[in-house]
Amino acid sequence: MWVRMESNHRSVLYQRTVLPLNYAPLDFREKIIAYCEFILYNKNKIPLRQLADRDDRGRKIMIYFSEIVGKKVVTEDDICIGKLEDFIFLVSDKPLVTKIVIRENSGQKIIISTDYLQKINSLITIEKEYLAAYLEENELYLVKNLLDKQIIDIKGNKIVRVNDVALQTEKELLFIVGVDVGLLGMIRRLRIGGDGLYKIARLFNFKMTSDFLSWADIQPLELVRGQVKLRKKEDKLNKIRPEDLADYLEKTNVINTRKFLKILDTEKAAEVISNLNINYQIALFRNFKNEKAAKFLSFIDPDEAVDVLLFLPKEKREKIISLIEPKIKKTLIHLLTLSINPIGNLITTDYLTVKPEDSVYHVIDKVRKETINFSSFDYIYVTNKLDELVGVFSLHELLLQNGEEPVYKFMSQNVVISHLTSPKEIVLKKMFKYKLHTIPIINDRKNILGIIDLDDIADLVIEKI
Amino acid sequence: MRIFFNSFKKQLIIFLAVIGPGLITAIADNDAGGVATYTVAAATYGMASKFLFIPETLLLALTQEIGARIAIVTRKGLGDLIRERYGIKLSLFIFILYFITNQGVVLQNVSGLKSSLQLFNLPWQFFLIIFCALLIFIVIKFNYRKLQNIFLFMILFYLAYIISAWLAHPNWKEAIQESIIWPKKVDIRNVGFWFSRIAVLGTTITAWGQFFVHSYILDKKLTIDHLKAEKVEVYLGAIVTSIFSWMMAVAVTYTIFANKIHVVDGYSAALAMKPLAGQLSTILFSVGLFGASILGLTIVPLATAYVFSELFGYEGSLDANFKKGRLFYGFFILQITLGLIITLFPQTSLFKLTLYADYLNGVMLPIIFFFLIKFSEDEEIMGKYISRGFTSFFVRLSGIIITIAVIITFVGKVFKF
Repeated sequence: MWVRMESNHRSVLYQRTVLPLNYAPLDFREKIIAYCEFILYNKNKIPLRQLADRDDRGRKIMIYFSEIVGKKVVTEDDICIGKLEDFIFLVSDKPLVTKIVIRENSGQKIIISTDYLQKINSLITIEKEYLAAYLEENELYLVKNLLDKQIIDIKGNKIVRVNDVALQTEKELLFIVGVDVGLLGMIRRLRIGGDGLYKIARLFNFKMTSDFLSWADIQPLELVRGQVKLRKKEDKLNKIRPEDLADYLEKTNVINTRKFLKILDTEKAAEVISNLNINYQIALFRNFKNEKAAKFLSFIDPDEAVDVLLFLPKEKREKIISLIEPKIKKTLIHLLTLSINPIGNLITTDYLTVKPEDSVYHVIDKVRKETINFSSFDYIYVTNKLDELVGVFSLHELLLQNGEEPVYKFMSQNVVISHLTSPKEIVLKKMFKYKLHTIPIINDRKNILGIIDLDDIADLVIEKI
Repeated sequence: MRIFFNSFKKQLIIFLAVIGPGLITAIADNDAGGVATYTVAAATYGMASKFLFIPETLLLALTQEIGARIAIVTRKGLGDLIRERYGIKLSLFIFILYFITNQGVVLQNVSGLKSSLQLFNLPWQFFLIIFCALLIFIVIKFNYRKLQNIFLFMILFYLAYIISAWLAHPNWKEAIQESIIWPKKVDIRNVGFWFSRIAVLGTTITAWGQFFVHSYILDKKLTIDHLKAEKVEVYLGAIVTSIFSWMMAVAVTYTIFANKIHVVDGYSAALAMKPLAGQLSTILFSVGLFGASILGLTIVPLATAYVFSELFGYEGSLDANFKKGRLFYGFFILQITLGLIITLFPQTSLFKLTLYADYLNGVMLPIIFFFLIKFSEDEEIMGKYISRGFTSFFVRLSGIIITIAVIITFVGKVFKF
């Protein structure tokens, strides 16, 4: 149901921009999440015309689903149609209730749009002329898909079940704002003790925030898979030590990324892929089927596509290329021939690496001792115990820090890198794009082999011209 | 030949990997309450108390198999499915009924443990508290694997019944004639006989057993590849259980029934055996009762805790630590403690209380059968693994028979036939 999405919402937010230093705009994981939700959230909103369900002072008020389910649905001219059975909502960051499901007196089920909804009081009033609607893509049933479902946290631990659902009207539209997970939600559902206790319970419930989960804590995308999953990701990630973070992200994200890509259409997915760094791209493409890989590659920037292709086994690479449409194929083949001129002979070893836990003092000391003979010096690279490149920072950034500050606190983890097999033109393009003075060349185990200086490579290209 | 051997080896490994849930659940059905019911029934009606025991075994096997299948296919417990399909009201109602029923069964097991301690002439108050505390400690501290090994070890205690059956010098031919072919020694038109027969069925096929096999398989984290092996394991469990209970009946029939002695529970039965089959028989019977009580006392509260976690969505796994699964372990501790306190007050009539538990179990059974049939035949839930053919027919038929039996028993008890 997620396959098709409007393409007029091409993201402006995440288009690649030229960035200073080695920074990518956002952590790509957040990027993907934000991206998907951006698409979902921007679905057309249907205005709910006269939902006059506000209190005396016109404030928006919260209603619980258990309070309105089973209420009689009548038309303006007081003809009883049936009882409210379910809601249908759009799966998004701010889920809009789009349709209501009514169980007719004859026992049949009818779905009508909330466009016809007028009032929710002791009765639910709708316009007298209404049309039946159907479940559309991106829509789920409240009772069937949300109520009573298991809530799990990001690690898959069971928390509790959805005892009730809270709704709120805003600008005449009805939204789901959260789920009740407490005992009072349960009592409300059971309708124990009549109205008195019920009112007290509700009063209390507004105070007891711990029993209430805001919709902001729930991952809408997981709902489609029948799970109510929380997104307690920030606090989870904060607990991880920074030098492990890159590794952690890589491991979880290739899987997560693939999950996300599955539900996006090709063009959008390709856009997301092109925003990832090369390691993830390669990991992704290794797992893709050839047809799929070809499809995605034709959407990706050609010089990035070449980088990815060069890292795939020769056989797979050729198969993929043969599947790409002729126009793009031509460009790619041209770029690939350039890779006969690799950059190997341009590499210098005038670079400095430090450990994530080294302090600023220590780094400055190292700079003094070890960089005397360097021809130029702009960035300091950070490697972990396995000698894998995990971060980078500039001399300027170093000087801005306090002496005791450890490196992992200020280094950038998204490093722009290149490979030995990359053609010179592509490396140069990359350096221009990110305005880098030097770029590290790494092998497939993420060990630094050397760096390339902008001056050296530029000279070479100019010479040719 | 070698290929055959290798494939056999592979299948054996898969089988050993799944062993546990079916065997443990089925055998725990012969808990202290079961022992008491079988004993009283066999003491009154002899081997005829096991009449129709082959269809009974089949029913146990099939219901457990359905539970196992639903658990493996859906990765959800019976509680999960009830809550998600039928909402919170029914869930709460079922849980309250289920909690009370299980509390009654726990009580039967605590008093069974008490009886076995008395038979060994131990100060039962002291040891009862010690055993209960130890049980709670072990269940909280040990993970799934270790606990399962303990459960499997406890099954060895049931071997005592086989030896004690052999010691009773039974007439095997007659035993088979009475229980499998047609009972000659009992007038089959006797209404009391059928009440007793239904009571025996009710302790073999239990509400908690149905929930437990479900949850326990889920906690073992078996996958669809294990489905076939698990089926075999469940059937094996049902057969082994039936053999044990049949042996129990043999041991009682050829001592107590043959000498027309009146007994009311496992304790008096064990004592009555002493002059008839010797000291060893009594000891073996007591050992069996001890094992049955301990097993029941662990499994039944766990069954309650599992269902609570499923219905209300809390973490419920033997692999969870105490902090994470505190509500799960909380219900386990609560049931044992309640059972212990009630037993420690000597003035409470345990006999009556346990009888009510049996009635409640009877009420639960038609409900459970309804859910089992409903879920296992729903294609949306089970996909291609839905029940069909004989299983479907037999379970439906049994569901109807059990429902009628339960109603008749109720009417019978109310109007005192």
